[in-house]
Amino acid sequence: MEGYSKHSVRTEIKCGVMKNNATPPRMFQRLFRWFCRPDIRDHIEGDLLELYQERVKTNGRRKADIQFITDVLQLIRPGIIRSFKPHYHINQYRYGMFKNHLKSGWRNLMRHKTFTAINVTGLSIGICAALIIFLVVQYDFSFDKFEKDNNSIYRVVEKYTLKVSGKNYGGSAMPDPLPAAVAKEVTGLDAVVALTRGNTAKVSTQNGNKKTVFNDQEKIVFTNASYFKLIGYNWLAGNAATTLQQPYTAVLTASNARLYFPGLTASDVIGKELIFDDSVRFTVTGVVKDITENTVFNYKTFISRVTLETTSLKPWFWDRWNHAQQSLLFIKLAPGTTTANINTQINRLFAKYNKPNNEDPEIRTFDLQPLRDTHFKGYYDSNSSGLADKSILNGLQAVAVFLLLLACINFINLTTAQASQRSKEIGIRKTMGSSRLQLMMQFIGETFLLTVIATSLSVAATPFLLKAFASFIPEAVRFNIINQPGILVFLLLLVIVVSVLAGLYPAVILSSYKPVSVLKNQANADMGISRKAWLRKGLTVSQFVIAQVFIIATLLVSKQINYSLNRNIGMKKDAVLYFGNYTDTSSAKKMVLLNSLKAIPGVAMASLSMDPPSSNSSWIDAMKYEDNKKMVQTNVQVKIGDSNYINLYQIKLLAGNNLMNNDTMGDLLINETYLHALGFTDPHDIIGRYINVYGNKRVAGVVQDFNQKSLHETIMPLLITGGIESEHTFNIALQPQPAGSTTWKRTIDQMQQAWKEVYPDKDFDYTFLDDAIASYYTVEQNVSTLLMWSTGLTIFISCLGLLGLVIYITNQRTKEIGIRKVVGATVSQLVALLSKDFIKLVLVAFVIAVPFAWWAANTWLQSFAYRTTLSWWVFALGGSIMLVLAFIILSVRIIKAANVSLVKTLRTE
Amino acid sequence: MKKFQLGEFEEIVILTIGVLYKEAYGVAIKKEIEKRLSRSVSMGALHTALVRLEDKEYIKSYDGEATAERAGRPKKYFQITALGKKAMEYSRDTRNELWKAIPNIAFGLK
Repeated sequence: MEGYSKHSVRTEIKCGVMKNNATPPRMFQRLFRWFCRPDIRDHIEGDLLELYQERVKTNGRRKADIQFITDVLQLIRPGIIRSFKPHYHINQYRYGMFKNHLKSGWRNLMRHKTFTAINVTGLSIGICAALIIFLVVQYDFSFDKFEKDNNSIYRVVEKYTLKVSGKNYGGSAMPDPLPAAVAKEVTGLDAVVALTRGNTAKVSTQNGNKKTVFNDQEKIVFTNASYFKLIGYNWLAGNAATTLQQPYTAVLTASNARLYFPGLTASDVIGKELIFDDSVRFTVTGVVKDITENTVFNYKTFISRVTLETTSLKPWFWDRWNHAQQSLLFIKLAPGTTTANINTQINRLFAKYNKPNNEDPEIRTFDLQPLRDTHFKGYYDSNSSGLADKSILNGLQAVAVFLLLLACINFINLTTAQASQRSKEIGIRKTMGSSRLQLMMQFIGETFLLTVIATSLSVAATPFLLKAFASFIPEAVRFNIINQPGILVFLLLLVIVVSVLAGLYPAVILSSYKPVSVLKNQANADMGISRKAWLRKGLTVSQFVIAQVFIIATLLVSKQINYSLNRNIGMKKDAVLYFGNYTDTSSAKKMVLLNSLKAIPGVAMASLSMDPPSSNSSWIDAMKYEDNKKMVQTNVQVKIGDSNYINLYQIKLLAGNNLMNNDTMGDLLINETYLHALGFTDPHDIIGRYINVYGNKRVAGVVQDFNQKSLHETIMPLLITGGIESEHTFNIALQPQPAGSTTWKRTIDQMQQAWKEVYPDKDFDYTFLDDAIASYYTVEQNVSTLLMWSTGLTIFISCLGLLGLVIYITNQRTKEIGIRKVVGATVSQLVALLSKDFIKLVLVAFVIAVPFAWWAANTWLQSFAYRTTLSWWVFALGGSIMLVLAFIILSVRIIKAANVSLVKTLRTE
Repeated sequence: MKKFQLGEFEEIVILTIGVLYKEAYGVAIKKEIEKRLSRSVSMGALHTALVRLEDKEYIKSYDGEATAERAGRPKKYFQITALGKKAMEYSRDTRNELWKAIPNIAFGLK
């Protein structure tokens, strides 16, 4: 509107006359002035106003307003609307101005090198983050898109609802008889595929007398021919239709075939033998091409599932419906079948074979999970590792958006702050006939130039960053701009969005200068107090709010991790390690090993148990307590251990006696939580009473509560009892190790020797308890590292912006600084004077950030059953960090400005 | 054939300009038409007609005084030009001729 400045100047001058009159709706008056032909605008406006005043008197204000609006809208007609063509091309060479814009844009970037560097750095950081996060997100959402009809493939999953507490949890493991029953009895399915995941195995091949051994082979799965059809494998050798029908047959992927039988072609591998764990021989009957697409089906060795059904390898739980351990079940719906229908059928089927029973601690229901969700950690896979976490992905995307936003804010702040320096250029351009639109395009074009530079830098830096952050980024994420057209499109969109976001506002501001006032040097008369300054302040504050929230969040997350690792969880956790042989159920060898372990001088104590007191595995069952007054049924976690168990872990006995060494379940130890759940307060009262734990067992003692799992979980009722058959973990407490010595290493070597004497074929694989506990919090550790990086970057970008602003302010006020120094101001006074405004902004940001940070941290902490306090000092510390950083930046720059020679400062114009 | 083009509303406007003589500016024209013909006239329609008439050079305009109610915007007074007068006459004559050509019986049958 102000583009037609001749008229608007006049309007503003004469507006004073209207003081006593009512004013019509401003917006519509402006609208009219905008669309009307300039030559007839003034007198029609006069007519409108005259009528309006008259109507206000006769009809009242409201009616007059409405009539005014109708009049304006009815004036939108061809004869009245102005021409929107800005100008006519005098010559045919259309790119003249474009060239000129490019040139002046480039010169401008070069003239203000500091500001250009600040802007490019900020934008590059934002774009790098956006690019890398885009790669990760794109990767994680690209899983299993290649299978034919992948939208109708589902995984059958299970939900367990505990009868006592009503709590529920999900699982993806299926009872092993289920797949066969589903295949036979459920209608409306195109495919039923069972996958039984095999344990890590030692695989060896025999070539004449030469035996080659491959230890710790993973990705072994028991399945049948329908699997290959469902996923769509390409066969290099073997018969797809008849594959895996015989026991002891196996199919390999090409990569594994090459590994086990180097130098042989696919068809030569057929008929070769693989020996698993030195005992079982499998014949290779097929080789398939590896899947190159991203998929959850990353298995490499396929063994016929019929092997498990018909041979001595059959697990003990194979026919049990109430046991779910290693099998996954995938189904493909026939066209027209609904998931609800299949769900009902499967649940009915399960109820038929596994009759619901009052003794069951939980209710089990089956559900279908779409294939595309199986790559993500979720309700049904809460404990699986190697899955993508959607909440982390969302967090990452938020970080990328924030970083980009900060960079854009920097750009807007610096450009509008510097706008006055270009006002002359704008005045001249307008006088020479530039339209407002043209000027806006020029400035957005300059932003575009800058963004393109930043993007090129980011593209160049990304491969290195991918390497630097390799521990966070899934291995398979690749950056190849040529092979991934998606990235090009994303970058293009990013450049456009950033250019517009960062460039639009400065372009509007810059192109709004009125040539008359600019050329008379009045354009900046009101800069200090104008709306622009407010906006700039607002943007700076929002920048610091983001940075501040990140700082406080980082501090709180670290505090919680620290708390989780250092909290007294009721047991000894340092200098304790454990290892086990999970397949040996006999007691003789275990006792031999235990005794030789005890004989090692570096071992303070040794104990046999099912698992350590703190572990992810859980044996939970409903136990019944009965006396003449009441009956209490509770879900109780069961731990099996010998008499050294609680001594070794220094679990405190509150009342009664320790367990006797028992080969079978004998006496019980219970924890305080269970004691309270049974309605007792004094631990002595329960000693000698009986609890039904697979038969009535006597309570021998009560132990103090300890955390059985991570601090996410509450302590649950627990009992400890004996039973050598289930004890396969050797717990070792080491003698304290003098600082700097390697006695532990020697002790561990001796333990390995002892182990090899008893189990020569098994690898010796030990874990320190404190490492195991730390691994409960890997997600949190990752979040923490991620937060630290984000915090670092947001602080960095915000401080860059602050630096830019303070450079600008000190430049503007060079002369003032000089004069103040002449009349006796000290440097510290100058610092106080100039930094006051900025410090205020940082403080305002702190006040705004605190509730956000408090809310976010509080929400996050809710996932922990035992959590650290949201202490005030964390917030205070976060605020101080930000304040100190801001103050350092401000004072360094201001001191520099204040120390410039007076002669120089006073001569600046 | 189409020597002078003058639409129905345009004709009313130019006639009113004649009626108002020296006082013919936007609001006055609008009010005069509304008063005499008892029909409402929108600003849009009126000014479009004025623009067209001026384009056809049937009327000419000059800036007048500005008043407080108009917030300093000048009035624009309109005057009929010689060409405008011819157009009006032409319009009236053609109508008269048409009137005359109507046989009496045409109304008599009513």
